[in-house]
Parts: sequence; structure tokens; C-alpha cells
Amino acid sequence: MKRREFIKLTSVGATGATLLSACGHPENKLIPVFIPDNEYVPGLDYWKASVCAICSAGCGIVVRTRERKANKIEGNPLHPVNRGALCARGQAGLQVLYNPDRIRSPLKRTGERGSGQFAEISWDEAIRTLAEKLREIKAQGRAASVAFLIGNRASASRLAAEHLLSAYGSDALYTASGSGDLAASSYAMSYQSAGPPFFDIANATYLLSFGARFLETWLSPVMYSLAYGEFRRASGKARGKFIHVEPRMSLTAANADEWLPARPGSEELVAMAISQVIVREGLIKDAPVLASAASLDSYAPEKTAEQTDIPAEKIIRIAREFAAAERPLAIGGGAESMQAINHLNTMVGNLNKPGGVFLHEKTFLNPVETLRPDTTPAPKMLNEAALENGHVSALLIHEANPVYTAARLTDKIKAIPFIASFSSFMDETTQLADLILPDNSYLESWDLRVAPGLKDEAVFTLMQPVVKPEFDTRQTADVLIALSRELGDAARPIPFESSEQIVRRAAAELHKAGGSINAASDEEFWKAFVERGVWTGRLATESSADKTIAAPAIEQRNQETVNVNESEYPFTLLAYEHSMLGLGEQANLPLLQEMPDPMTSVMWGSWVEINPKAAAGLGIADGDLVEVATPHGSVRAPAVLYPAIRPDVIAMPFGQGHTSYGRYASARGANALSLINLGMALETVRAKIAKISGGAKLIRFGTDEWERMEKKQR
Amino acid sequence: MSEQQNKPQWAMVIDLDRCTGCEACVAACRVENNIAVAGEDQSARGRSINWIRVERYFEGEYPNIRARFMPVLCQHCEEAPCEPVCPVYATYHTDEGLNAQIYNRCVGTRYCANNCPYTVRFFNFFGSKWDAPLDKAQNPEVSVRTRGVMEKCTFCIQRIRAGEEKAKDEGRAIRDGDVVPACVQSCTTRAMTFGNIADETSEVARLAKSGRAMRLLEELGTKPRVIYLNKSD
Amino acid sequence: MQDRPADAKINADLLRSVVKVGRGWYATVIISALVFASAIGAFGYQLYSGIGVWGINRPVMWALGITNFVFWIGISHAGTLISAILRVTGAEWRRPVTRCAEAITVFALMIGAMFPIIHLGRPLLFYWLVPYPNERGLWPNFRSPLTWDFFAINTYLTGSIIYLYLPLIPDLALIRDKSRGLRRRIYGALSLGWRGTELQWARLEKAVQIMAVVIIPVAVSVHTIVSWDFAMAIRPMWHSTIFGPYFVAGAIFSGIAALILAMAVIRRALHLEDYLRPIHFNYLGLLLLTMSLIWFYFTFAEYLTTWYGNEPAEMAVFNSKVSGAYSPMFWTMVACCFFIPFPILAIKKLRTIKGTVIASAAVVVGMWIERFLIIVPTLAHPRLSFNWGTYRPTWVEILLTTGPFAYFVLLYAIFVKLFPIVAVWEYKEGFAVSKRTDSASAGEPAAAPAD
Ligand SMILES: Nc1nc2c(c(=O)[nH]1)N[C@H]1C(S)=C(S)[C@@H](COP(=O)(O)OP(=O)(O)OC[C@H]3O[C@@H](n4cnc5c(=O)[nH]c(N)nc54)[C@H](O)[C@@H]3O)O[C@H]1N2
Ligand SMILES: Nc1nc2c(c(=O)[nH]1)N[C@H]1C(S)=C(S)[C@@H](COP(=O)(O)OP(=O)(O)OC[C@H]3O[C@@H](n4cnc5c(=O)[nH]c(N)nc54)[C@H](O)[C@@H]3O)O[C@H]1N2
Ligand code: SF4
Ligand code: SF4
Ligand code: SF4
Ligand code: SF4
Ligand code: SF4
Ligand SMILES: [Mo]
Repeated sequence: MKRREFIKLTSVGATGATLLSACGHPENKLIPVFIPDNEYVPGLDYWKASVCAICSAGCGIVVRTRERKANKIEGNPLHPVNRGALCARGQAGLQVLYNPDRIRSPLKRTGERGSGQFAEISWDEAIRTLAEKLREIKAQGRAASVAFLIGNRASASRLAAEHLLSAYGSDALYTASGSGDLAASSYAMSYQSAGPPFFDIANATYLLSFGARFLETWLSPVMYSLAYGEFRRASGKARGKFIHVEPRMSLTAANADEWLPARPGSEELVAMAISQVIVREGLIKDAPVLASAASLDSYAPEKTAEQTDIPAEKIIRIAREFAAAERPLAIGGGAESMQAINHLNTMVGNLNKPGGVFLHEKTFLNPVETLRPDTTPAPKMLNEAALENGHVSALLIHEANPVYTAARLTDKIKAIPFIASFSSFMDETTQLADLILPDNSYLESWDLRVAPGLKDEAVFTLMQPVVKPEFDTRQTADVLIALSRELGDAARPIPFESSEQIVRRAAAELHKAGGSINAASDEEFWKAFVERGVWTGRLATESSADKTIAAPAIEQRNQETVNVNESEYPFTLLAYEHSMLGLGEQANLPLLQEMPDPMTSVMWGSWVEINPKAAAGLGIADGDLVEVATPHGSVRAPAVLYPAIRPDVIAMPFGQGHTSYGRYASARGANALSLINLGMALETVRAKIAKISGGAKLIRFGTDEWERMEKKQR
Repeated sequence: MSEQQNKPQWAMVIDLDRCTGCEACVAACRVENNIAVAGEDQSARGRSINWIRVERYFEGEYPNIRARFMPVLCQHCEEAPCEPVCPVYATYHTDEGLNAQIYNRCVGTRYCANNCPYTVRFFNFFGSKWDAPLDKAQNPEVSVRTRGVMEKCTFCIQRIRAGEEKAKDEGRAIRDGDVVPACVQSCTTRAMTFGNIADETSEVARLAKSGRAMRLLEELGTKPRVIYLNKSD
Repeated sequence: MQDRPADAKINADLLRSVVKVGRGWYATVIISALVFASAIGAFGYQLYSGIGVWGINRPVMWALGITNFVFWIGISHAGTLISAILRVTGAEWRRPVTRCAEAITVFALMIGAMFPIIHLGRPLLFYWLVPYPNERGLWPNFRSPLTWDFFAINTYLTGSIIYLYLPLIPDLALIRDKSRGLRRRIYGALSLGWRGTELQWARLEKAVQIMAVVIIPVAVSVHTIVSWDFAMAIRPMWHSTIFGPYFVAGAIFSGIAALILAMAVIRRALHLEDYLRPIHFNYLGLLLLTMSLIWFYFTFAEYLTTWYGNEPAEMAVFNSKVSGAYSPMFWTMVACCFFIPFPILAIKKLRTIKGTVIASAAVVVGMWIERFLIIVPTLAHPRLSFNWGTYRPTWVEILLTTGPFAYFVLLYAIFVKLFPIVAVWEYKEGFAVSKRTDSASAGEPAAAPAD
């Protein structure tokens, strides 16, 4: 029996425990929550199902514990997103839990702000201090000046924060980026669909990707990697062909059968040129047309070749292949070009068909959100205006680090009279806090996570504590609940007992909705949920007939706002999410710091990729220290001569350049975020690069002849 | 001999057409097998340890350039060049076709590493260091290596033992799925398959007969037990 | 033709250092002991911290440690092998040279044999390579060239000590006879009751002859086996059939060079100008010339076949040596082993003491580099090129490299204090032999050269 079938089979009938023992862990038990001491058997493995919270894909995990220590995270084989697999970052989860740099107890600032001097205090004192502060502000009639900055993902803590603000009388809820999960939300926007769509890559036979790094980042890396495996080699199916458009060869591009290094920002033109060929050659009968015939003509590959830098013949061939393919599929990675890309799907009519795009009539609302207060303000973007003098008298921060992601706000943040951070780590923002109330790690917390964009399922994964808190930390939701009790007259109490209760109530909603767990009572449902860790429910797909796509707003494309002189800034900078460290959240995990970047093999630092030819022109050799400057800022990092990047483009990963984030992340590499404006991930910026004197630390795990030869040529 | 035939013969198949180079296998192996973080300085000196690594090779020149990924772990060579050179039998062949490494027998000559054509042997130049409490995440089934000994992929021997024990408990022969090494388990594209190649019905045996099957540096006659499936037929 | 000097003068000259040493000797001993102590300190630090304090890495798992091992084992071929060959072939000029050579062997071997131990990841467990019944229930692996090394080196060391010792006996007796007290007793014990009877002489000569014959294949085998540490491994530019003879030739080559250097120093320091004469340097220089040619031939053959074969993995190593990162070292080696010594030694006028010393110094440096270049570039270029690496030594390895040179000097200094460095009886015997052969052979008696 094949592994996949086996997993499918078990996921229908068996419980997690039998499945785990079928996987070669004989004496395993999959058990809920905490076992009383008298029943605990030392030396026995206890497995707990939970969710990976390192990125927003929401993969299911099972965690092995023995002697009350968590010692292994594995993919939950029952989970429809990752089906037992787990990406490198998910594997590093225990280094979040057992990170030596975690904040181990509540702290209050003793020295100057930013001096890093803190004293340990008790939870009682911490909550009391915060409550006093909030009461004091309320007494001054300035409740609205208390702001809460919170991460993008729905969570029990975010829910508690919303309740707290509304009970207290403030609507100052902020997010750091305002973008949420970029790719997901831009898809939802372009399709005007209820939620992120699902792309059936596994069953496609021809895949046209416009910068979507679906094997590394994008919507759900493990889910789409599994799909890619089947796309390549599944029994009874021809090997799929994969074309990828991106100015730099990402790991995803490296796996394509053909890589098209189009000029940055021209993806949309490439997509439109393909449309034009399909229409003019009549490759698809009655294909819906996006623009008027006349305006479509202006996208002819012959006319756009100059702008895209892709020869017309190539576009024509790909258009023909795409149109002729059994199950063609187009996917994209940036908000601007999404409509043109999605139109290709409309042309080939693959909506809600195997190998196509699946849209949902409505999303299954995260039941945690049904528990929201009636008056939840939409989170606003934390920017200069929001922080104007006196606007914010106290800032509470949870799961956000604006001093790192938006350094230009630092002075404004510093000027806020009172800052409380719920971070587990002494990051750049927390460093400035007056009061620190450290959160539990995700392996010590209760929560419910929704997995974005599955084919026809809503997937909810339980986050449950797999071990007791390692340090004197508390889940932020619980702290906020306690705080609301402490506020007295200043606010009504949050209507929950605890984070666990929030999740139980949300679970009860799931139980009502039916789905994959049949149980007679909420309690029984809860038991099964805790054991399995995942609940799935059917989602209706939208009928394709009434799906029209808005005309592409090509003319209003997001352009660089700062006027730049192209000869002064001859390159385009692509800053991208580090495949291990993301935007920098994972930079404090030593395992991920030591993972060689799959393309450059660099570890423990930042780098700048530049085409060897361009580098030679500038006298830059592999490993040289270079300075990259954009109109927004400049950074220094070693150069990597990267043969698979356009000569007019340089690229740099996010992730490093922390000034304060524990011993593994601090003072390492450069922060590419300072080169661009806070905003969309696909934003491109003009840049210049020059060799400067000074030593550069470029640590690689491996190399190859090519790089060596380059070095010698110099 | 007949006893040997009854023993499972472990082998792995890696489909290079599926593999994306994502390195989930690399991380999985490190956490499963208690590979300590070497740190920046030691990494810079070529001492970080990855029992499995993903090698990336570029071919061609811009814009017609391609990248090729190849996960490389100990090939568990049937004719393992690392074995005869070890003066103290710290590395030897088991009757299940594993190239085993006995840490406490090893005196650290590093000769085996020199004679491994695949460069998959890693040496503990210093003892492994775990910044407390990171050590709590150690896998209790796997010993932490001391300073001065050689180490490398074991095909997750602890999982093999557990799987074999379970099959024995259930009074049956080993079958597919009983043993899943950490890297195989985590592989995000299902590019890796592990099993008993002596069992004709196993998935590895089936895949090993594929027209795409090849072995790394086959010409050296090491007879690797890791079989790669080429990208194209 | 030189007349036979008086017995008393020979004795006085040759035993001078044994009887009395000057300030120079003390200075030498103290300085070399200090330098050697720094190496011991470095080793202590290594023991404490782990071999990670070396610069070795993955893929360059062997570097200076093994370079020094091969180098010193090579140097050891100076003595026993050369002296044995000269003895067996009856080269008369050998007489003042043999002991000097044999001592080099013993000391170089003692040093060389240290390296495989100190380079271990767990040096204190070196005895696990020794076959003895143990709780591990294991013999060493006799398939491993390292185990062969163990036996070969031990055999050679034992043989060389015996071979050094046997001809020493009459001289020990001589010292015994000339001293008193404790010293007399020690030398008495060491000289094994030597009286100089006809029977004893006959037996001694026989024993020395046998040892000379036996030690030659042992010496050849030792460096062959050392070469097999590499040649048995399937690494590019290691896996070569000519490595055995190539290494043996290289060993003799560097050994002769070391001998010339040692003789020059001794000649100066102990005022043995009358005994170690230009003719000896001339003869050894000719030998060195021969070896230089042989070395060049082997090197050429080795590199030509690699280049012509043009296998990518081999070429990666080849290129790194000839034109890549290691090319400065490579061409220095070629210069030191051939282009510098060859003209000096080929031109009779230049084949003076000074000339041979310059040539020898070049050869010793060149041969050390050769050992390094055999080891490191190959290891730095594994077949799967993703794993290519580099190597840079640390101060620990550098001290462990320089220290043994000082140790060698120290051992030598102590040796000359304890024993006559020119075999007194052999030297005297040379005159007897030359008288006998004077009329028969046209050649000059080497022991008493005319110049
Ligand atoms: N490993 C990992 N996975 C993650 C995350 C993580 O941090 N790490 N984060 C998650 C989150 S929060 C998000 S929002 C997503 C983001 O994931 P993605 O939406 O994939 O965004 P990026 O990773 O920034 O990748 C953008 C890619 O587009 C390329 N690019 C830049 N500009 C242009 C352009 O003008 N045209 C084209 N065609 N390409 C361009 C860049 O080279 C880069 O390779 O990933 C999620 N998954
Ligand atoms: N220029 C530019 N800006 C971008 C993007 C871009 O690509 N380019 N990407 C955008 C996108 S897609 C995203 S998702 C955002 C990400 O931006 P943010 O959401 O600001 O992400 P981080 O900087 O990672 O902030 C998370 C912080 O939470 C803290 N933390 C870690 N673990 C815990 C925990 O368990 N509990 C609590 N309470 N805190 C914890 C850490 O200190 C960490 O620094 O950035 C957006 N901004
Ligand atoms: S894809 Fe995201 S959620 Fe899934 S394992 Fe990786 S980091 Fe965790
Ligand atoms: S791959 Fe290397 S370590 Fe593994 S068995 Fe083969 S020679 Fe030995
Ligand atoms: S390093 Fe250890 S295993 Fe390798 S050859 Fe030496 S003693 Fe044997
Ligand atoms: S089989 Fe086990 S030991 Fe070998 S590479 Fe995979 S995870 Fe590591
Ligand atoms: S986990 Fe699988 S797909 Fe990823 S690098 Fe390893 S073998 Fe390749
Ligand atoms: Mo994001």
C-alpha cells in the first residue's frame, strides 16, 4: 500500500494514537493535556497534537514528550495541510520553546529607556503596574490614547486584546504591516472571493508561475510542496511542466523546467502577452477577453518584448503550450499583476476544476472571531501619523516588532510615555519597553489556527500546551483577562475565564458545524479534538459561471513613489523573505541560522546577490564587502556572485540585522527592511551597489566549481 | 549467510525530480539525531554538521542557467571504502547493510572521512555544545557524540530498531512503513522512500528498478544503498 | 694521501664532545628545549580543548599533522637505509658518516611516530591501535593501512635502534675505559662486556652485516606503507600505483639532505673538519643529485599521467596545485627539489660543502612542501565539488610543526654529548682496510681522503 493511501485511509477511521503507533513508535501514546503525576510513566513517550505557529500555513504537528520534556516535533500525519511532512522551520520549533534567550519572568525597566536594564518582578506586580497605568490614563480621560499593536494572525490573545480595548474604551488597534498575509489577501482581492483560493498544482499538467515562491514561502509551503511532488511524479499522470517568471532564480524558480528572468515588475505584461497570443491565434474558443481588442493588441509579445526582456518567440511558444495543455494553471506572487495572471486561468476555464483554481463561496469564519466584541475596530496601520505627538500615551505590543520592521518609527515609539511588551524575546521594540509581560511560546499555549486556502475544506488546528511553561511566563490572553479583572472601574472584565476556555468555546462552535469529528457532546468533541489536533469541515466552492474578474488596473500599477534617478541607482533591488528566517522572526533560532540557504549555501549572515558580469564591471568579487543603497537607506553585507539573477537586478534576503533579539540573532548581518518602504513584499526599489573596504563575513556550507572559477577569474 | 538473507537490507530512494532542495530533511535529521549547533565561528571553519545536505549545482550560463539539487547522505555503500581503513573497527558493516558507526570505539583518525568519496562523514572537532535549556530538546533515543569522534548518517538506526522490534512483537516480517527515517518522514515533496530492498515487493525495490535509477559515483564500485531517480526518463 | 693520525688524536677528537661541552652546547640545548616545550604546551592545550584547536576541518581532515608525520618518516630514511646501503655495498667513504645518519633515523622516527598519535581526535586512546587482549574483545583492523603503519614503524624503529646500537658497542667500551665512577658503570653496562676479542669483533661485524641487509627492506617497506595511507584511498591524486617508490625515493632524497645538513652542523660545532671532509659532502651531494633526478622523474610521471588522463576529479586537484590556490607552494617545491639543487649538485665546482648545504636546505624545505601538497589539495577537492574547502593552520599546528625540529636538535645535542658521533672504531678500521686495498684499487681510501 502506498504511503499516501495509507494516510488517507487512517485519516478516515483511526484515531491519532493508532496512526502514530503504525508509524513505528510502539509505546507511544497520544494523550491530552497534562497527566497527573501519579499516572505519569517516566521513560514512556507521550505525544501531543498541536499546530506549527512559525508561519501562517498552520501545519499540524505532533510533539513527543518524555519526562515532561518536549523532544521532537513531527508533522501530524492526519493533518490535511502537511500530511506528516514538516518544513525546516517547523522542525526548529523546540528552539522557540527552549530558547536560552527567552524572557524568563516579567520585567520592569530600571535604567534609561533602551539601556536594557530591567529587574525581575512578580506577575502580580506586573499586572498591577499595568492596571494602575491604564487606570491612571483612564482617569485623565485619555483612554483612547492607549493603543494595542498586534500581529496579523487571528489568535486568542488578539481576541483578548480586542475585548480589552473595547471594554476599556479605546479603538486604537494597530498592526505593524497592515498587509496581513500578503499573497493570500491579494488573491482574495483580485478574485473578490471570500478567502484565499486553492491552486490545484498536484493535478495540473502545465504550471505557469509569476514569482510565486510556492515551494518556500507564499501561501502554504508544505502543502504546495507536497502538491508539487505529485505534479512532478504521480502514478497515472504525465510529468507536469513548470514555467516560472522571476527576475532572480529563487528556489522555486530553480525547480522550474524553464526560468524566465523577466524585467522586474513586468510579470503583468508577460501574462497579458500570453493572453494576446491566445486571442489572436484563437487558441481557445470563445476565450473571455480582458481588455478591448485594440488595447489587447498593445500587449502583443513583439511589442512588449523590449519591456519584459522575454523574446516574443518564447512567449508565443508558451502561450501555445499553455492553451494546449490538458490542465493548465497560472499562479502569481504579487498584488499588482494578479488580475492579469488570474485572467489566464479564466481563459482556460479552470475555475473549480481539477488542476485549476478553487474559490470558496464563503470562508469558514474562524470561530475565535465569532467571540469578538461587538465593536471591534478594524486594525489600523501603525505609521507616523498614528504616532504623532501625544496621540499614544501607552502602547501595548503583542507579536509585533515595529522597531525592526519599520525602523523609521523608532524615535516616535521611543517618545511614547509608556510601553508594555508581551514579547517572549528581548527584541528591538521590547528593549524599549517599560514593562515586559512575557508570553508563552506556542508550545505552551492554547489557541486555534485556521489553515488558509484549502481545496474544499475548512481546516482548524488546535494549539495546546505540550509541556508546562518552561519559564515564569504566561499566555498573553490569560494576562489580558487577569488585567481586565484588575482594572476595576476602568473596564468591564473580559468575558472569558482563560485562553483554554476561549478555545473550548470556539471548539464548541466547530462541533455545531459538524465536520470530521463526530461526538455526542461538546466534552466528547473536545476530547477527540485534543487527541487528533485537527478538525476539518466541508467548504462549498463557488460556481465559476458568475465569476468575473475585474479589468486589470495596469495603468495604476503600484509604482515607486520616490523619484529616483536611474543612472544614480542603476539596479533594481529585490528583497525577499529568507527561506529559513522569514522576515527575521526566526533569526533567534540557531538551527535555522545554521541551515545553509538552499541557493547560496550561506549561513549565519546576510548577503547580496549580484550577477557575476555586473559584479565584474564594478570590480566586485565573491565575498567582498559591498554597500547597497536605495533612496530609503543603505546596508553593508558581503556580495555573493550569483549566476542566476538578471544583470540589472540585485537581491537580498530579509531576516538578519537584528540589534536585539538574543545571542543568535543580534549583531549579525544587515536588515534589508531598511532598504525599502514598509509595505508590500513585492515592492521593488531602485538601488546602487559599490564595493567598500573592510572585512566581510561570508560563511558557506558548500560551494561549487562555478563560484570557485569566478573567484579565480578576478 | 541464510540468516543474512533473512535480514532486511535497508535502502533509500531519492527522486531528484520531486526534490525541491527545501532542506526539510536536513533540519529533520539534525533534530532527530541530536546534531548540535556548531555556531558561527565553527561554521566558518567548516565544522558545522549536516548528516544530510542538499548540494546545489549550477549548469549553464545566464539566462540559460539551471540549478540542480541533490540531497546527499551516507550512501551506506555495500563496498564501503570508509570501512577497511578504520584501524579500530569503529565503522563497520552490519548484516542489514548499514554502515554503522560506533562512537565510543572511534579514536578519531579521520581516515574514514578521507576515504569516503561522498564526503558525508563529520568529525567532532570539539564536543557538542548546547546552550541550556536547548539540551532539553535532545532526542533521548540518540546518543550525543563526544569530542574527537566521527559521526554520520545512521539511516536513523534508532527508528530501524524500533520498527524491527514492533514487527517482532507482532510476530511478522518487517514491511513498508515500519521504518521511516526522520528525513524521509519530513520530506515536503515525498521525494524520499526508505525500505527493505531485499523485499521484492517493497517500494524501494520497485523504484530501484526504475529506468531513472542511478547511483552516485557509481563508477567507483562502492555499490551505494542510496538510489537516485534522475529528473528525466 | 693522509697519514693515519695518532690513535690518541682520533680518540681525543672524536670523544671531545663526550668529555666536555662548551657554552654553545648549553645554549643549543636550552633554546631547543624551550622551543620544544612550546610544542608540548600547544599539545597540552589541544588535549584540554580538543583537536578543534587545529585548523583542520571538513573536508581537510588531515593537514600539518600528517604532513609532519610523512616528512619525518621520510627524513628517517637518511640514516639507517643510507648507512645500510653504503655498508652493504662496501662504500668505504661511509665510515665517518654512518653513525650520524643512523642517529637521524632514530630521532626522526621517534618524532614522526608521535604525529599519528597527537593528531588523533582522542589521542589518549592511541593504544587501541595496539594488538593486545582487551575488554573490547577486538584486535585492530589488519585491513587498515594505519595498522600496517603501526607495525612498520615499530619494526623500523626497533631495527634502527639495534642498528644504531650494535656499532656503538666498541665505542661505548672505549668511553668506559676512559672514564671512572658512575659513568664507567653506565657505559660498562651499555657496552655489554665488550673486550674487543677476535670473536667479539667477528660477531659484531656479522651482526652489523645482517642488520644492514635486514633493515633495507624494512626501510623500503616503511615508506611504502606510509605512501599506502594515501594510495589505498580512492582519492584523486592519491590512488596511484607509483606512490610506494615515489615516497621511498622522496624519503631517501630528503633523508640525504637532512644528513648533509646534520653533518655540516656537527662538523662545525664539534670541530670535526678533519673527519667530515669535503669528499663526504661531495659523495653525498652526488647521491642527492641522483635522488633529485629520480624525484623529478617520479613527479613528472605522476603529474603527466594525471594531466593526460584528464579526469575531472583528478584535474580539480591537479589544477589547484599547478595553477590554482596551491600553485605558489607547488612551484616553490619544484624549485626547491629540482631547479635549485640540480645545478648546484651537477656542477662539480659548486658541489662544495657550502653548495651541498644550500642544496640540502632547499630539498628539505621542498620535500616538506611536497608532503603538504600531497595531502591538503587532494582533501580540499572531494569528488562532489559542493564540498570543496580550504585549509589554514592555527598557531597550535604551527608550534607542533616547529617544536619537533627543536626536539630533533635537542636529541642530537644530547646524543653527541653521550656518544661519539663519528664511529671511532669504524674510522680507525678504515685505515686498516685502506692499507689492505691500497695497492689493489686505484680509488682513494675514503676514510682518509686526499685533498
Ligand atoms: N519560509 C518562509 N515562508 C513564509 C514566510 C516566511 O517568513 N518564511 N512568511 C509567510 C508570510 S507572512 C508571507 S506574507 C508569505 C510571503 O511569501 P511570498 O509571497 O512568496 O513573498 P516573498 O517571499 O517576499 O517572495 C517574493 C519573491 O518575488 C520576487 N520578486 C520581488 N519583486 C518582484 C517583481 O517585481 N516581480 C516578480 N515576478 N518577482 C518579484 C522576489 O525575488 C521573491 O523571490 O510567505 C509565508 N511563508
Ligand atoms: N518592507 C516590507 N515590510 C513588510 C513585509 C515585506 O516583505 N517587506 N512583509 C510584511 C509581512 S507579509 C508581514 S507578515 C509582516 C511581519 O511583520 P511583524 O508582524 O512585525 O513581524 P516580526 O518582526 O517578525 O514581529 C514578530 C515579533 O513577535 C515577537 N514574538 C516572537 N514569538 C513570540 C511569542 O510567542 N509571543 C509574543 N507575544 N511575541 C513573540 C518577536 O519578538 C518578533 O520580533 O511584515 C510586513 N512588512
Ligand atoms: S510551512 Fe509554516 S506552518 Fe508549516 S511547518 Fe513550515 S513553518 Fe510551520
Ligand atoms: S557513503 Fe561514505 S561513509 Fe557512507 S558507507 Fe559509503 S564510504 Fe562509508
Ligand atoms: S575516525 Fe574513527 S571511525 Fe574513522 S577511521 Fe578513525 S577511528 Fe575509525
Ligand atoms: S536517514 Fe536518519 S540519519 Fe540518515 S540522513 Fe536521514 S534522518 Fe539523518
Ligand atoms: S526534504 Fe525532500 S524535497 Fe526537501 S530537500 Fe529534502 S529530499 Fe528534497
Ligand atoms: Mo506576511
